[in-house]
Amino acid sequence: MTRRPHNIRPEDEHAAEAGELDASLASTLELLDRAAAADRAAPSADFEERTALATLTPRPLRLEGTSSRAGAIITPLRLAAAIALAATAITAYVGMRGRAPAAHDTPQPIAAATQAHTEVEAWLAFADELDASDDGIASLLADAASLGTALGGDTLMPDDLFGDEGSL
Amino acid sequence: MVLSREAGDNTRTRAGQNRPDADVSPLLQAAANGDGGAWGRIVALYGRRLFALAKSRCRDDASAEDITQSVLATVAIKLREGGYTEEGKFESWLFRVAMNRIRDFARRKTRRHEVADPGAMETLTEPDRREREHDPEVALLRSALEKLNDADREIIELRHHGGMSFQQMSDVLDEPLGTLLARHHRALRKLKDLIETARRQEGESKVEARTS
Repeated sequence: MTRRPHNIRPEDEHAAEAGELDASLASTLELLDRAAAADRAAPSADFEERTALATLTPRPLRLEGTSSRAGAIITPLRLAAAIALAATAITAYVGMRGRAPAAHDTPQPIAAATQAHTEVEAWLAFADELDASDDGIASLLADAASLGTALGGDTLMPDDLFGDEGSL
Repeated sequence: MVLSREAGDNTRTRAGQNRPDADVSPLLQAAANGDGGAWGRIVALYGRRLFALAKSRCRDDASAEDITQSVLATVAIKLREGGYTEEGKFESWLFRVAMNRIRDFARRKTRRHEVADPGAMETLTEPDRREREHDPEVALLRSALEKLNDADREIIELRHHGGMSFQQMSDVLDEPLGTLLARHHRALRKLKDLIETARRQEGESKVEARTS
């Protein structure tokens, strides 16, 4: 099999049957190699180190509580997104009410205000699962601010952050 | 911790010797016993391939990195808790976990695009983080990939982004090898046709623009 500069496919005894030696498909294969090479090169240089550290913790952080999402793994990216998004939902509500956030803030008024019932309700439920007391919410907001709320305004659902971890 | 990146690309050169599974066994054992260096080597071996597989589907670095971390965190836990039995098929297992995560991601994206009242969501719209492709030929390919059905797309991406052998893909997708090979060949032809059609349409549009 002729190897081209971008070729990152493993050579394979079944390549012919799979069409990889078909000359009429050579340009398509070359494009696939280029695309794959670009995608592999996309992360920053410290990708491996960051990823290893993020997944190496002796006991990865997991979501506690009794909901269906309990036990889901919290990666640093997910946690950052969760903090920013929970803060966004809470801020939307308290901004409307002109007062500081409190633990008894409920999803319904926010849902009414934003007409995004499902999302906001889900996010407040999530904040609740983080055991967000008054102090906890203030801390979430502070953390979100320090993160630049880069993800604020997304319509991510908790499931986006805590997907079906059981689907192995 | 200093991690080696030497095996990050994991390019293989000789047919029949392209699977690191046999070599990875001692690393898996060491990682299961809490050896951070061994875990770093495993991440270096597979991290970018997992990332590329995820990125081809979501076209967004942050989501691809999140999927990669999620997969590797799951694997790290399973290793430590004894949830993986080494039978020389670590890579197939790893990529099966990855495929499930990527399918979950694709499903959620679809659900989110089915909001009943899009107008109500206007202020909460997710910013478009999908990157723009600078290589016009690769852009054509990516666009063609999105037009493939999920089954064809998975086969193409496992092979070319995940860098898997056809035998491993057969294990991951639970499909007979012969069927898989035929499907891969067909999917390549579909891709080629889609790209050629797009090129032709692009050419026609340019001609139209010039004449009008």
